[in-house]
Amino acid sequence: MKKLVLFLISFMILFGSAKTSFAESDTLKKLKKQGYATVAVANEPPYSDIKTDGYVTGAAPDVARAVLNILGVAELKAEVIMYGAMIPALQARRVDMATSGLYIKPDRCESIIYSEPDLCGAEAFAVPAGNPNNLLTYEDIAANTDLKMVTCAGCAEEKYALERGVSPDQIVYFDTPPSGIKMLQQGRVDVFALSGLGTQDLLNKTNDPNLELVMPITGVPIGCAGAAFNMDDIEFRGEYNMALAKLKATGEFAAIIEPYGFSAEATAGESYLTRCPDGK
Amino acid sequence: MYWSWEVAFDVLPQLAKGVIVTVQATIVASLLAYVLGLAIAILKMSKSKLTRISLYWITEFVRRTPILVQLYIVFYVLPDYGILFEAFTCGVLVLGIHFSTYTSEVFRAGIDNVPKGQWEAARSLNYNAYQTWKNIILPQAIPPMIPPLANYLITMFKETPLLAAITVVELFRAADQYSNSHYKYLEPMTLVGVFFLIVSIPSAILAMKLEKRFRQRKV
Amino acid sequence: MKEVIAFYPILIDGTITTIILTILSAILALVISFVVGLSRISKFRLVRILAIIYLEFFRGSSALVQMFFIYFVLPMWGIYFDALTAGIIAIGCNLGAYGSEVVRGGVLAVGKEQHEASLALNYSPYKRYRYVIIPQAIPVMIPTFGNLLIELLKLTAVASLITISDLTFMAHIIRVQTALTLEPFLVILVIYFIIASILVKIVDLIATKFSKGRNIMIAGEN
Repeated sequence: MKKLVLFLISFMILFGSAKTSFAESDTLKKLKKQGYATVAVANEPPYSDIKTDGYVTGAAPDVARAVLNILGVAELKAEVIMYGAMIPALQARRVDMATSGLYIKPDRCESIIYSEPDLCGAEAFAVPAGNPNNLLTYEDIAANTDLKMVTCAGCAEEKYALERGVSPDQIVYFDTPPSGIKMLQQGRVDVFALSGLGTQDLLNKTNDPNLELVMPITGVPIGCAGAAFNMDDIEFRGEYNMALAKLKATGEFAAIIEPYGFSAEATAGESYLTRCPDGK
Repeated sequence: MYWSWEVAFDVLPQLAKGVIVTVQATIVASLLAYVLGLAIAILKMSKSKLTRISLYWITEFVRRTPILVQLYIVFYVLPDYGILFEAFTCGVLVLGIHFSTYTSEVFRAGIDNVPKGQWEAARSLNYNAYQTWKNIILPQAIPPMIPPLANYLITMFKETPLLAAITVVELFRAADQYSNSHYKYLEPMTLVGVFFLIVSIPSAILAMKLEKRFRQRKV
Repeated sequence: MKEVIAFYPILIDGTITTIILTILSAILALVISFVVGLSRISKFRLVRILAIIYLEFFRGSSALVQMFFIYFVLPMWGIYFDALTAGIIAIGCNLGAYGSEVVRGGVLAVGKEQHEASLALNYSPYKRYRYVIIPQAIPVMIPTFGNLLIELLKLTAVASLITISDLTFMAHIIRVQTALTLEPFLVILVIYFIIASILVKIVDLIATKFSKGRNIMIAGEN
């Protein structure tokens, strides 16, 4: 009798522990139950794109949708918010995840956790045609303290600039990218800095022959963005990564992002582990 | 989340710079609102129906639409038509014009309050328009108008954070920029709120005192 | 302009959000106005003091700052409101403070003889206020409440800064998608004007309805 009980107990322990390693995270369970995930999205084409009827698409949301589908979450409810508001939104669990161009940066890793990178790209400037101030790097902006640059508050570009010697007085912030371009057109600022593809898309739409694109900017790392999660969602992040890897393996990932101008190989060598200290 | 004095002291210099801009914006915008408001009030007394009606609808359009959207238009759109102002100027212009629609009503009520007899007396003394206003009407109209005008000054002061939307680095924006870069929200926002309270509450008390003082004048 | 009109579903969504925000905030503000306004003339000193603290706090600080505080700072203490709720609370509390002064002024404007008459009829304070004082105070309050309502509508535009998907926010979205700036802003400016004008008309109708058969001096501009 004792042997039977011992055997049953050890069997249950074995079976039980095996079960937990295959069990879904609570977050994923909740999302599957409600049928959708709330995703914070910034408004920066082509990372994200909003159609006339309000449908949110674009490289990052489409990837997120595909990944969530693999995980069994049918729908994606997008909440358009500004980059500066994404981290607080994740911390407050107002959204389940955030995506669309939130670069993986060490200081952000202290507040949130990332998935593997999904969208990597170079940086760019928009300048008056002919690049009168000959700006090719952030150091060039720092060298001339009369110059003013515009970018978004809390964006990677702001940090890049400050790290490379641009004085805080030289930086102006826009609320949405078109405002920044307007400021450039009106001569309020001398240079507009944003992600490579974002700047390119904006200049294409603006169609102003007096503006010019400078890409890539040397001296800054390739900006890799990933999906971001609340710090406690480590398990969910793991599930997301697994599904993302599947997506990449089948080539569907490339099929989704390349029409937007992104390159799938750019993400190949990158990992959030290298970009976030302590392997968070 | 607990209060960190370290962060509070760290953000203070930026906030101080912002305060100066806030105060400057308030003063200039108020002056504009007073002057423009008076002009509108006087113009609205025009004999021309066209003037009165068009002024009415213009001021209503300005009064019924959000300051924020007006700011965006003056800052981002006007330059496309050749009118480029610096951010601070845009902010002050919009605030001043927007609130002139309110102050003009105060001026109008105050002017209406002056008994008709005063106007007639001025005419019988052969005063021209300028003399009438300067020597008879305004000195009697203005004292009761001071409390509401003072209140609008305080209101404009509290509307200055809106200028942050067009890159004017006043107090609120200074705090917001710090928050966005350092991911610290509690200390900057609280300090901003405290500062507004420190200015508004004594001002409200002052305004109440002004009201008591000017109410004693019998017209 | 065509591209902007193509986004009309988003504009309609934004307008609906703005209207919902306006109505719900107005209700909250109205309730607060009466609670705080009547508390200000309460017999009990403590109640009066609490009311004054509320008044000075919410009237003395900027609505935008209050909104940011509720939306960004409170979560750090574990109090989470979604954007729309945060906006309603901030706008409602802010305008409730201004409204409380209107209520107080309106009630104080009712002649002393009304209080005396109710006392002579042995009315309890509740009955006195409910059936005699407040009904007479309301017509005086309506025009100024109307002005505050317009202020409330304009304040909802500020809510776009805490990511509420209101009309102003939608204008930004359209700007990013089309790279146009004048057209989106012009369109929402006109929409705001139309909503405000409708509100003004409604308040006017309410004012006339409430002053039917009364010889009331209407305080306020219009």
